Amino acid sequence: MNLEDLQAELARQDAALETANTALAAMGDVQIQIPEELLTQLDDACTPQTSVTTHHPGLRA
Amino acid sequence: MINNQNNIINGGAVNAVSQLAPPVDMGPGYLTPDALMSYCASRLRGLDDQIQSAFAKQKLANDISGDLSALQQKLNTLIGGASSLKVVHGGKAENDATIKDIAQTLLDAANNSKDPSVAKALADKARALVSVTGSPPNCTFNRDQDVLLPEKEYTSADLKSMTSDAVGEIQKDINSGSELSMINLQSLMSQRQSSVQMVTNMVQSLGDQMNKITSNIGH
Repeated sequence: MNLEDLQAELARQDAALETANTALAAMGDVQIQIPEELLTQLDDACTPQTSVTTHHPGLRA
Repeated sequence: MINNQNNIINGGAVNAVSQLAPPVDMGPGYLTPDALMSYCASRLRGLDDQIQSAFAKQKLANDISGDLSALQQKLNTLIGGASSLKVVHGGKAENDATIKDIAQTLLDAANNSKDPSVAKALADKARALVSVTGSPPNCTFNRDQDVLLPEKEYTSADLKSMTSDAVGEIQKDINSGSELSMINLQSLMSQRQSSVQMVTNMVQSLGDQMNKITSNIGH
């Protein structure tokens, strides 16, 4: 998978979020209860993980 | 992802969203759709920042690798033009000009490199050939001075090994670092995919619940 593929995937995810946003907006002025555990799951899923080394290791002199 | 939502929701996410409430203040634990979307967006932001940064790094690595390929080609052209070069100090060597051209090419690349460590590595390659002053992006050398290579006859293979092949090694390091970055980026994208899936499932579930409530009104 190259960088262009990943950018396309990012755009696809953004479109899904936009669809969700539109759906939420269409619900109008209701109040909804979200179980705490679901929000915790979302927090966990969105927590950035420690990344692997991203710099080029040991350039030769 | 969206096409698979119903299956995933039927698998359990509906149960997770407990209930919908009328538009009155229901107290703690209740959110409006707008507030929910803001909450989800804020949670995704940290991940997005990391992804954007990883994208930028990956693009930079690709650009640098491309620049190094172009530099290698340029050096090979310069080296290929000479059969063998006899280095004689004291300004007597007519072929020293080629080595100085090679050094200048390396320094130009060093001075224009987008990565400081690559710039330094390229300048160091030039330093082995001529007396370089300054650091990237302001490296220069005096063409009137002798080259630093010991006096002897150098074949084009010797010169290639000292310059073009050495640039290839720098590129190899960049590429291996880039492969690790790509794995990291793919992992982040996968994590974002899961998060987005969770958000869309949540919204889909709420929509289903609302539809049920609406259809039950009047029954």
